[in-house]
Formats: sequence, structure tokens, C-alpha cells
Amino acid sequence: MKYLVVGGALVGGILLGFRPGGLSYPKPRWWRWLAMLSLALLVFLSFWIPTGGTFGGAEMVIIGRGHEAASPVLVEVIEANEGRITGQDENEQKATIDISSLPEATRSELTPGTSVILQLSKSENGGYAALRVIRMNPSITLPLLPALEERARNLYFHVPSAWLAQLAWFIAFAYAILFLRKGRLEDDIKASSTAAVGALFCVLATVTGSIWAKFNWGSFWNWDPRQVSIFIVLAIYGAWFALRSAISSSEQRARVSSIYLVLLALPVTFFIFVYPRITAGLHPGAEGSPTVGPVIDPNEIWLNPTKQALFALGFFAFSLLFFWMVNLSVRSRMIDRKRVASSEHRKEAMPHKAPEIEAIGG
Amino acid sequence: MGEGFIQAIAIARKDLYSELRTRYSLNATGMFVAVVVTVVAFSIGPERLNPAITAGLLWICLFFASVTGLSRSFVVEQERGTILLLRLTAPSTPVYFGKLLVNMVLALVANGLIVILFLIFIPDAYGGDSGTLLVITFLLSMGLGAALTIVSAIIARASARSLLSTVLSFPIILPLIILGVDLLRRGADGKGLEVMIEELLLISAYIIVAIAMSYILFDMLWKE
Repeated sequence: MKYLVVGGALVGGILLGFRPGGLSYPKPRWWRWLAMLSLALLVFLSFWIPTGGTFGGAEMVIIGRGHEAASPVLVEVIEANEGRITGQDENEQKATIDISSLPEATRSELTPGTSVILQLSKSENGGYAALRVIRMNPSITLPLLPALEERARNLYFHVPSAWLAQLAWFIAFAYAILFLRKGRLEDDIKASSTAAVGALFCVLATVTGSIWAKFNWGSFWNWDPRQVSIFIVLAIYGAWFALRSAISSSEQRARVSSIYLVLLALPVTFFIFVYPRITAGLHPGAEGSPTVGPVIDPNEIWLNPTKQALFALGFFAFSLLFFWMVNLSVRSRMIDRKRVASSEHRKEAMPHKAPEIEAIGG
Repeated sequence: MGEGFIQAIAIARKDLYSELRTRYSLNATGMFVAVVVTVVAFSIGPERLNPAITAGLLWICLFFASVTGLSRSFVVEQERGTILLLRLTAPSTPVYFGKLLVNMVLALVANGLIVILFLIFIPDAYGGDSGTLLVITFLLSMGLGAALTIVSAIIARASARSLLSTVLSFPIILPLIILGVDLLRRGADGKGLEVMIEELLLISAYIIVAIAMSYILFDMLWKE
């Protein structure tokens, strides 16, 4: 099921990117509304939904962090007495929680049957004490990922932008081959626009990844294999644009840069798919890592349906944003090209309007 | 096939002759190698470096010497204005393979020179087996030659060529750099070839893929 949701969002995003209008015709109004709504929904949902863990997870965090910062736990109240409640978590593990530090009004709401996300600390006698209420009766929750906690929200932005940076590469590659076979300049415009927007998403993935690295691994940049590979992919984009700017004739530029792009498939494949997996690193999916990466890992906490739905929404919304940007870039550049071509055509049609040449000759 | 082979050999011979006549790139590459090795030797001073660092330094020399030397093969034709004549007289395949052959020979000569100078001038530069070093240097030279031939053909079409050569070569050669420095480091540690089989095979695969892709792409690059 989860593969279906995420896979459907991936395929749906790509199909909607290509299907009404393709890359070079205007998108219909409903398409633009869909893109904006899904992006807004993604931003809202990824910050709004509270995370709640289990007693087991909370305990692990408390040991690591001391008494002060405990992770939130989703508790269903079973029994409420004066100053303490008995609750159970999602794994049906029961515990007694001291709620005497909560305000009176909140305490009276904690009747049997309510569920609540509480920030806990572990008291001296081995029981739990509630520090504060995060959300009463949450309709949906995200699972609390050990060691990631609230920082996991970055996933809904980081993973889709990384995915689109890779997808952009494939699309640009396909258009480069198409250009080499058919020789239409339109395909070159599509390839280079896709690559340009792809480079932007690559930068976004790098930035979100390095913010995450700061708060999870301790520094913005530590040459993890995955960071090495994205750095190199950025350098590769840079080399490709450097080559494009060094050729003035548009036909030549299209041909030579398409050839270079196809040649670059060799290092890009190596650095995106091979290198991070054959070297040990901190990023999921590295050699010796227990997870293959959050999206395809069959581990229990990753399987949470809310999380998968948000992931799918992230992929979908970012795909639409990506294709919208590519579409705008392609169209504006095609207009530019038409304008240049028509002004050249006008000059050719009226040769007597070129007095400079005669002046030099005379 | 037979005729193409003869043509490729003829183009390689022509390149080698004109090279021997002017000795332009041989002299330039030779001086480049001497300068780089001297700079490395002076910057190390009397220090004894561990093999990992020497391997890295050796690789930096190999990379820049190859990029400056090999990426010129088509650029020279473009600058002398002989590329049109070459395009008229020969189809793309013999031209590519002729240039590839010359570049591989040049890469072998330049890299061999660097390794020899390194061993002479830098104390304890390489602690391992000399046969291993020979095999690694040979394979890396082949890889550099294979990758840089097509890059040279691409650069010949652009402006700002000397600047572009390093920028454009870098991503293509990068897998080779990573594998090569790993091999050189292990070789310097005294490991034999039998523990490097995987990397050697990867480099061989890289060479084959690079040549195959260049062969297909060069045809499109060569036609006007």
C-alpha cells in the first residue's frame, strides 16, 4: 500500500508534468491551482501535525539527554486520579504519569478515554512526570523517529528536492539524446532548462541536507559520501553551464553541450547511485547502514500511513513546482529565440537598410 | 575495418611526427612535470610523509599534467587550422582512434616521467612493490587518455579553451581520481595486486565505457 501511495505520487507528478501542455505549452488553470494548493498543503501539514512517540522511545531519549528534554509521547488515558493518570501508548505499554505540575484546567480535561500528546520527564522513583501538554485529542499524528524527532520534518522537503534533482538529470539526458538524433533546437532548450531548474533543486537539496546535518550530525558539512556526491553533481552542473557559456553559436552550443551531457552520464551515475552506497557514511543507504533509506525501508516506524501520505504529497507538490518552473523557462526562452530569429530575418529581408557595411567599404 | 585501422595508424603517426618535429607539447609537458615535482619536493622539505599523502600528491601531479598535455590534441588542430583538412580526408572513427592512440602514448610517457621523478626526488615516496606501481600507472594512463580525448574534441569547439580544459575534464575523470588515489595509497602501503582486483576491474570497465561512449559521440561531434 505504501509503495502504491508514494509510487502513485511519483508517477502522477511526472505525468502531470508532461501531460497537459508538455514542457512548451501553457499549463491550464486547474493545473496551476493544483500545484499551488498541493504546495501550500505540504508546507502546512509538514509543520502542523504533532509528533508522538511511545514510552519506549521517550525513555531512550531521556537517557541520552538528561531530565530536561524528553520527547513527546502519545498517551491514551485509562485511569485518572488526583494528581496522576495511568495511560497507555500505541504499543499498549502502560505507565503511571504524575500530572501535578500541569495547570488545574488541563488536569481536569484528562479524563479516561482522551488521548493526549505529553512531553514527559522521568522522575526519581522510576515513573513519569508530565511537563506540558502538546496537543489534546490529536486527530492525526506523525510517528516520533528516534534520534530525528521534530527534525524529521525536514524530510518532506529534502527528499523531494533531491529526487527532482536526479529526475531533472534523466530528463535533460533524454532530451540531449533526442536532440542528437533529431536535431531540433527545441529539445536543446528543454534539456538546458531542465538542467538549470535541476541545478536549483540540487542546491535546495544540499542546503536542506546541510541544515539537517548541522542539527543531527553536528556540522553543516563533514564530507559524508552523500555530501561528496551532491557536491560533485553540483560541480558537474557547473562544468556543463561553463561549457555552454563558452560557445556562442546556438547550433554548435546545442550539439556540443548535448554530447558533453551524454558523456556526463558516466560520472553522474557513479556518484549518485554507486559511490554513496559503496562507502560507509552517516546518510541512510550508505554501506553498513541499517536502513536502505526512509522511503523504501520496510521498517515499522517508517510505515506510518500519515508519514507516507505526507511523503507522497511532498513528491507530488515538488514535481508540479519543478515542471511548472521548467515550463516557464522553456517558454520564455523559446519566445527569446523567436524574437532573435525574426529580427535576423528582418535584416536579411531588407539588405538596403545596412549602411554601416557600405560606409566601411567606401 | 582494415582500411580504418590503417587510417587510424596513419593519423597517429602523423601526430607523433609533427610532435617530434616541433616538440612543443613534449617540451611543455616535460617542463610542467619537472616544475610540479620540484614544487612538491620543496613544499615537503625534509619531512617524511605517510604513504596516503604521497599518493595524493602523486595523483595531483598526474591529473594536472595529463589535463594540460592531453586536452590539447584537438585544440592544436583547431588553432593551426588543420582540422578542416583532417575532416575532409578522414572519417570520424579513424580520427578518434588515431588521436586516442597518441593520447594514450603521451599519457604513458608523461605519467611514467612523473612517477620516475617522484621516486628520485621525494624520499620514501613509495614503499610498495614496483610491479604494482607499474600496473597502476599503466591503467591510469589508459583511463586518462580515454577520457581526455573526447574532452579535447569538445573543448576544441569552445572558446576560453585553456580555462575550460580543467573544468570540463574534472567531472569526467573524477571516478578515476577516486579509484586511482585509493589504489596508489594501498600500493604505497605495500599491498599486492591481488587485493586490488575489484578496483582494477572497475578502472578497466571505466576505460571500456569511456571509449565506447566517446566512439559513438565523437561521430556526432566530428560532422559539421
